[in-house]
Amino acid sequence: MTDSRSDLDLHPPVALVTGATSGIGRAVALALADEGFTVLVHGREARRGAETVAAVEARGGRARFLAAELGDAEDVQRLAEQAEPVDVLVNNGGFSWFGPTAELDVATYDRLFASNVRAGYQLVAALAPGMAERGHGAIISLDSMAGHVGLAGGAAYGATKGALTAMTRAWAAEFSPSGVRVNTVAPGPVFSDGANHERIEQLGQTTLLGRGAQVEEIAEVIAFLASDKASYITGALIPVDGGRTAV
Amino acid sequence: MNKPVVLITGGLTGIGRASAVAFAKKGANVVVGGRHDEAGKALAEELRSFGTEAEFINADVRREDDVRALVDQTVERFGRLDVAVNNAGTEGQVGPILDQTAETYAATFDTNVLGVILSMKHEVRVMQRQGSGSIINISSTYGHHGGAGASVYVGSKHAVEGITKSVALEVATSGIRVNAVAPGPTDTGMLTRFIGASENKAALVSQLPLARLGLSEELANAIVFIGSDEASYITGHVLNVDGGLTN
Repeated sequence: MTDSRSDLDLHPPVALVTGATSGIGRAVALALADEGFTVLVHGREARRGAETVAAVEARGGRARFLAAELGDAEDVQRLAEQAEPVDVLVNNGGFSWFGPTAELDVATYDRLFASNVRAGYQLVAALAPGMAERGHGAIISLDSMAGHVGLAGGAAYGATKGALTAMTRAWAAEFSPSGVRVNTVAPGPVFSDGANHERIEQLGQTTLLGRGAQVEEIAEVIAFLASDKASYITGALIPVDGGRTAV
Repeated sequence: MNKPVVLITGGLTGIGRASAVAFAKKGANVVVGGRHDEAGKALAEELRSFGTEAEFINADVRREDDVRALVDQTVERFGRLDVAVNNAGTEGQVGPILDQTAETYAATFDTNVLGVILSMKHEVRVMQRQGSGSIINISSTYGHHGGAGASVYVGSKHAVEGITKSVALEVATSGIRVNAVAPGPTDTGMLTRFIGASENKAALVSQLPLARLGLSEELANAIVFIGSDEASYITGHVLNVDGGLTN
């Protein structure tokens, strides 16, 4: 490793958040910045990245934008190299596709798995060994309620999300003996940018709490898992779904 | 809301005590229930040293009159009840099924199951009137896994998780969240009584991905988190805080 930062103690700690220019990812970037992390804001568009960075700075935090297309393996590799070393990785980026199974074309299916699963795997492969070597680190990946309940039209998307939880269990077994905690968070219906408000309201009605979540309610849980307050939690899946999958 | 009011049963030792300290340090007013006046008064004094108000109330969770009085006196003293931690529990008589009797069963279930039911009954009575509240029952990784030689304790903790999920369903629309925290091997007096010799401890640690026992303080941090508004969209969940054991 030639990065000069790798030999230094990290002050302040650094977090890489993928898909951080909107929705849950953006809320996570703000929450981690409030906790004192320097946040590496990943996204695709520089303009939107600059907006999140400005929002972090407006609250007195530190952030830097890193562009990459998660569906492109080389791009993800470059993202990892630019980010290394990090203390916290939040695998949030990706996209959703809902619709009849027969209507999902193979190219979109491949893109879904590349962005939602392979990118996260690549980032863990690139960043977790360094965390293990330094003896500390936290990785939080975003699963989804769709990974655990059967939603008509959500077969492929649900599988990509559930895959991250399966990987998380294996990563906990692999990296936690070296002090790296690995967990997943599975949001239920969330009023995030781009979400169909009416659909989220309908899905929200199916939860015990009878409502959809605000993005901050997901981000707070991720910030907790990233913190030392969660020092004995690893290999865990935490649903943040108003109780939808609990009972 | 002013300072949140927190009630903790079995609050004199181990995880209960650490939770009382953690809530007090966060500025909550704390009521500790327990069966030993001297230790209870000393703990209340210690909690006040964090600049908050605290009371000890002698209560045996196996007795409904005690539990009713514990909850009512909490409300008389502080005006409300925001967070209840139903922590009182016993390992009972650990040993093979051949050694179990109606008495060993009752000794475990009266505290671990009846105690939780009575506690929740009276906590919910107050919280429904308020239209808000957060209840945390302390389970165990044995609440969803088997353990040779621990059948009665394991059965009691499975019961706690079923009751948690059911009451979560019942009270979700009243603005009350109900969750459980499931500790793995935690460095407490109960664990020492449970496993006996220190070489057993080493064997246990060798099975843990994080390769060490949990600390009461680490459990307390998770309890404070899931009791707080930061976890506002989590209900009916069993949060494992187990160093990856059940992963």
